[in-house]
Amino acid sequence: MPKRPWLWILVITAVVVLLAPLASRLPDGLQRVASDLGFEGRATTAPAQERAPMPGYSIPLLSSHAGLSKVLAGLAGALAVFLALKGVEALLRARDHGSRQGFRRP
Amino acid sequence: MHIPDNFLDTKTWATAAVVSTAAIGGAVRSIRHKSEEEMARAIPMMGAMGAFVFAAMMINFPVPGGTSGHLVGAALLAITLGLAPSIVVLSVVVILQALLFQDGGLVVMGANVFNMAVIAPLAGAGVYYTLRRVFPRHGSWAELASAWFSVMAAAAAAAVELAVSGTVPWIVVLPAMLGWHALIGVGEAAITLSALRLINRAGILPQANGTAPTGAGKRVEALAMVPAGLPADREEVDRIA
Repeated sequence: MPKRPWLWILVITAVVVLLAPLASRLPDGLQRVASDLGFEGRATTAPAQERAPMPGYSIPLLSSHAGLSKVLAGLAGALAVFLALKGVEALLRARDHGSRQGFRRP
Repeated sequence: MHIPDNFLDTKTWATAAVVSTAAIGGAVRSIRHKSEEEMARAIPMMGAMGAFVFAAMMINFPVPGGTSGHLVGAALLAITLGLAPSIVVLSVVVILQALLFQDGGLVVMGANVFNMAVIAPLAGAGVYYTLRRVFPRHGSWAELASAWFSVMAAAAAAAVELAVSGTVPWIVVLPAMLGWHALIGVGEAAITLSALRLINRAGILPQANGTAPTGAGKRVEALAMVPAGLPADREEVDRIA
């Protein structure tokens, strides 16, 4: 087993993100159903969400380079998920140690 | 599978938000009650597995009939990390998809968490562990079925929410959602199996079910690896083809 298994998964993740420009642009299952059944037009975007930094997995400043924009947005997103979950991991560990000390069996 | 705002009515998204919050709380409590050994395996992998599933979700694959689908990853995470960590990881992924990328609405975020981060892992883990117990020698089938059913369960949940909200009648939305996702679920199953084999091959997660697939399971595995471009067992593929 590699010393830092999560590092290998991050490498695989980066490779997967590089494939993002090749992703199908067809509507996904729900979008297709919404369009077939005629409720697609109901969709709205909350005002707070209008300020999302990378709408539709793209970086607004790089709108002329669609592929690059998507890859960079994907890398940023993967990093954000990774860091957020590292925070969660730390919280889970910290709380666990606390509770274990509190309820240590004799 | 990400529901945008205004597809669901208030009672539906509010109920889903409450249930999702409770489920995340329950998952966190369950992780804290796990043994030291189990925690040492699953917790350090949550970040990397979450990043991987996020990336894989960006890769929409076409399905016959002019539609596409993408991985949800619920079965993959439930099998590698366990049910409770998979709920936490997918919740973080779905929440960040809405906040950073406008993928899925803000008001209905609780419903998207419920479908993809609560129902899908529950169905995936339920099917996987049941099948492993009943057919201990057919691990690959359990993995494939787990992935397919996790997508179907999420699609059914989304359809129920749309119907309960009065957006569209039951009788049309349920078969439409389940029909498309039956196809998308096949892609989910193939990617899940490929990713599990890649993980096993690299020895990255020793706790990932390491039993050698046998018989039909091995043939399905060999075929499932081909579309993913992974090093399948050539002999096995040649024999089937």
